[in-house]
Amino acid sequence: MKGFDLENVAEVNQSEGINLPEVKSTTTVSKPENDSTTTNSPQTITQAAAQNFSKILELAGGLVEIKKMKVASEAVLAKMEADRKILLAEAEAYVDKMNAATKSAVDRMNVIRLMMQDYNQQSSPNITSEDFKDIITKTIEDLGRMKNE
Amino acid sequence: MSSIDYVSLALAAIKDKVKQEIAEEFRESYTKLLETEVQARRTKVQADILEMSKLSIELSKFEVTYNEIKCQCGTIESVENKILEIRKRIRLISENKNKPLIIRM
Repeated sequence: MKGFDLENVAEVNQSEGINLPEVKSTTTVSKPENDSTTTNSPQTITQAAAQNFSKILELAGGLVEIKKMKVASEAVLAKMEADRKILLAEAEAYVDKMNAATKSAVDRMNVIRLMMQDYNQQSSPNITSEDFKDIITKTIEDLGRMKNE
Repeated sequence: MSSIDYVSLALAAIKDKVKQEIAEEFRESYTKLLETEVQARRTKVQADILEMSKLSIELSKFEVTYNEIKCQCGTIESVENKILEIRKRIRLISENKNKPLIIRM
């Protein structure tokens, strides 16, 4: 177990944006007194890595899982933000649409109302009531046609 | 415990922390989304009420003028239909306004 070099793991984590607490890798593999090899020799490191391979894999898996969680959550958050913007835009569009529709309806009503008012204000109408009915009916039809176009 | 066990422990702690952060971010974002949904709904209802009141005012004026000439000309079918059309429009806006709020998940 001893002698596993953690410097590379820390570097990978920092590059992934994950702040691991710093763990000093000063522990070395205990060696017999008559062993003349250095503690951090490539052979020792390879042996330590081989012994801990399953754990190293587990750690790497853990890092990948964290990264995956972060990416997935960012995607969901971005979707929520997009939904918010859509909702606001929809509300704004609805207000504009309603405003335009009502303005159009009110304008058409005003045209007819002013015609009726004008007819009513004449003391001696130059047109008969039947003629006026025809005119106003035709006007309403025309206005309806204009609305549909 | 060996170094690798310490790292495993630290990694587990980090995973928990990240999960907690993500949950908190989700909660905040979802609350914000709900607030926006409510705000959007409120904006639409405000627009509906405003349009209904505009139409009602204009309809009243229209009916007053129509009733004045009705004595001379009698009933004008197209004008009557116009009044019905506007009343229907007001009713539709009102129904739309009173629809229950559906919150998207």
